[in-house]
Amino acid sequence: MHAVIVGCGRTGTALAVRLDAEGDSVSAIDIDSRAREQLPGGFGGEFVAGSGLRRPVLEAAGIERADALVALTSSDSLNIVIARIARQVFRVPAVVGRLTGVEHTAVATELGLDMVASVAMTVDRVHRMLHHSPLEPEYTFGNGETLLVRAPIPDYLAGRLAAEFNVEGEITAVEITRGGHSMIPGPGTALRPGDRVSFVVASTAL
Amino acid sequence: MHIIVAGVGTVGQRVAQAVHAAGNTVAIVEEDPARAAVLTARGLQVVTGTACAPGRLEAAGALRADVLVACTGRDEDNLIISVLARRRFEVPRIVATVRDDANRWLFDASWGVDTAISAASALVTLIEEATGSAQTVRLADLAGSGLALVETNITTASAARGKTVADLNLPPGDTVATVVRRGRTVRADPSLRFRTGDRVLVLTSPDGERRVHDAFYHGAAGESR
Repeated sequence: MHAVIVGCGRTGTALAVRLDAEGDSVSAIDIDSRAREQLPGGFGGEFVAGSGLRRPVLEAAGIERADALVALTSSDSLNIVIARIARQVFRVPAVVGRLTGVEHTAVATELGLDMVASVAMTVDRVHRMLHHSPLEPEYTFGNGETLLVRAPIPDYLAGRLAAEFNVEGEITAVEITRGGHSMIPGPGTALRPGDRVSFVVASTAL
Repeated sequence: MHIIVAGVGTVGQRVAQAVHAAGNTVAIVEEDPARAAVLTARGLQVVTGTACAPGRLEAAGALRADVLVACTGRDEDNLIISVLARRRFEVPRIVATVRDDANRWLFDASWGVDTAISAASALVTLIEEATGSAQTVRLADLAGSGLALVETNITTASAARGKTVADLNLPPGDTVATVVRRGRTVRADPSLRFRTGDRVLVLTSPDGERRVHDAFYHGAAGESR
C-alpha cells in the first residue's frame, strides 16, 4: 500500500514510522521542512516539504498512486479540504482526517468525509482503518441523515442473504458488485466471498 | 439584497461598508471577538464565531442571503465557507478571495465558488494597467456572465494600427466594447480605424486574453509588423 500522510506531528510521524516498518510505501508531507528531523534515521519513506493544498506537492508525494491519505495537520479546515481533494480530485480509495474541534463536524458530514475526533485518533485506530477497508460514506443525502456506504463482505458472511442485513428505517442493502458486475439484490440473493455491497444507512445507525 | 461577509480583515470591512452604503443589508461573521465588538459598536450586524459552522451562517441569515463573500485570511476556510453556503444554504452567488495564488486551482464550482478573487493578482493587474507595461491586460472577470474584460493598447508595433475594427475579423465571442482615445471614449463602429495610443476594451471569454492580444498585436495570420 502507498500511503500519503499530510501533517508530521506526533501522530503523523508515529503512523508513518509504523506503516514503513510494515513494508508499506509512505510519503509524509509537512509544511515545515524541519519536520523531516522527527522521522528516524532508518525511515524508508519519502518526505515532501510543502503545503498539502498544492497540487505539485501532493503529486510529488505520489498521491496519484496512493491507496490511502491521512490528513493530520493542526487545522481542521486544512484537514477537510485536503481530504476532499484526495477523494474528489485524485480518487484515493481510503481517506481519513482528524478534527480537533466540533465546529467542522457539520461540513465534514455534508461532504461525506471520514473524519475522526482527535481523542479517538490514535495510530492504532488509523492503522486499522487503512487496512481494514472502513465503511466510507460514498454519498450523503439531505443534511447527512442518510448515507450510502460500500463495504466488502468478509468470508464468514458468505452464504447469508443480502436481505438479512435490512433493518427497517436503519439499513438497506441496495446493490452488490460481484466480479466487476453490479446487481440489485432480491429477497433470495445470497452473498458470495469477494462481494462488495452498497448499503443505504441512517447516520444514527452507524 | 442581503449579503453575508465572512471574515472581516481589511478587505472584508471595506466590502461590508461598501455593500451597506449601496443600500443592502449586511451581516458579518467574524471569529475574533475583539474585531467583532468593534464592528458591532459601529452598528453593523455581527455574528461572532467561525463561519465554517453552519449555525453561524444561519444566524447571519444565510437562508435568505443573495450573496456571500468569503474573505477570511485563510484559503481553506474560504473554501469550507463557500461549500457550506452552496450546499446547505443554496446562496445564489458566492464570491471568495484567494490569499495564496498557488491555491487558486481549488476555487471552483466543486467548492461552491462562483467568483474567485486573488488579492495579489488583482493588484498586479491594476498596476500593469496603470503603468502601461503590458500591451494586453485582463482587467476583470464579469461574474455571472462568463465574460472577461480585456484592455489592449495600440502601439507602433501593433498589427491592428491603421486597421478598422471590421478588418480585424474577430471571432464572434470577442467584441470591441469601446475605444478610449486621448481620454475620451469613441464608439467601436466596424469602420473605426485604430491609432497609436488607443486603449481598446474588449469583451471576451475568460481564457481569451491571449487570443485578443494576438489579434491586435500580431494580426490574424500571427505575424507582427
